Amino acid sequence: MRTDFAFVGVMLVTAALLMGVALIAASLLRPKKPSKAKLETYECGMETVGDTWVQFRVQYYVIALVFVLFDIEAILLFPIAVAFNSLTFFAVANVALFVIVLLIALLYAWRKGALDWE
Amino acid sequence: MTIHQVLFIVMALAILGSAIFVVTTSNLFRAALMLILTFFGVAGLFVLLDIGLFAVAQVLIYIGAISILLIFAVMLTRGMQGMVPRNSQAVAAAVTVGIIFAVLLLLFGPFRVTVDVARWPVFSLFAGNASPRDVGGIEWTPPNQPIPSVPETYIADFGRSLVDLNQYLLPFLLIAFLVDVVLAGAIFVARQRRPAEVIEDRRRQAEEAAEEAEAMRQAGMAPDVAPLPEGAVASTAEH
Repeated sequence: MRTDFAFVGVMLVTAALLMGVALIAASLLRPKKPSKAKLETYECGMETVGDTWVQFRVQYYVIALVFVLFDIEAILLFPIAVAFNSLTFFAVANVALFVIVLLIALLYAWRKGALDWE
Repeated sequence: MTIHQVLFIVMALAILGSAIFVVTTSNLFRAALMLILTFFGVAGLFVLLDIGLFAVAQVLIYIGAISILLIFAVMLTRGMQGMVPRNSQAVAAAVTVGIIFAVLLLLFGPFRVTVDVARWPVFSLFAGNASPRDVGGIEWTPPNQPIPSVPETYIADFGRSLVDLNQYLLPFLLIAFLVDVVLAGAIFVARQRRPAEVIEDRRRQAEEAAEEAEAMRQAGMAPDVAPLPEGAVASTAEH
């Protein structure tokens, strides 16, 4: 089991090396002549307008919360799906109840217009 | 040192360092980002404990969802950039965390707590001839047996225990209800009401108030001027 995750570790190290080597080599090789125009925030070549820090809409929060709902549902349903072949009818009925209760939350959010984007 | 010990030390240092940064930095946004590193470290510890499912759950739920929620919460707050948030309860928080940590360490750590109140010096006066040296205390027993390995089928076992009436069925279903309640509360607080809805609500309130006043007047005990809520439509209240 642990050795399966060794691949994840190898990938993390490789990704860090790729980024790190590129950035460090660039900072060693490049000439350093900063000017006012060069130090400005880069935004697709356009001049930036306004404050960088804007207030987000509160609807993002509700959408993220709905996402948490289905995250929890998914992570709890995975182990049950693994054990599915040995489950009783009672167990499957309870899984259905779990999903239905969470669906009620989604229907409530939908009905209240929390999912609408204006 | 084995490779596991090296990995554990690296992860523990990453967790400790990022956690200390989270509670000491004054920039909330950076604190939220460093919290992601802490969560990653904990996921790594789960991998070292050979419970990959919990590592995946940690990445999916804590890094994928909770961190996003936290970052949104920071971004939603107005004027976060100029402000330097200060925690005025740092001491209380530190004491609380210390107590919780000590209790957890004594409960699950390699310690054995023996408390024998009858043998404490003062109480021993009433408890006969117990020697005052045996007052109980905390013994440290270094773990000499290896950590029991996780069975191959632990994911299926966990899944079966979630829907087993004798194990975790009730918490499993309660999670669904808890998430329902949280979502309903968040929607109630955060939802932006449409202008049409606000007008409709006011109109309904005014109608209800008018009906109530009418009913009371017919019952013969009404005051001549019924109290009306703000925004009531005058023509509705006339008759």
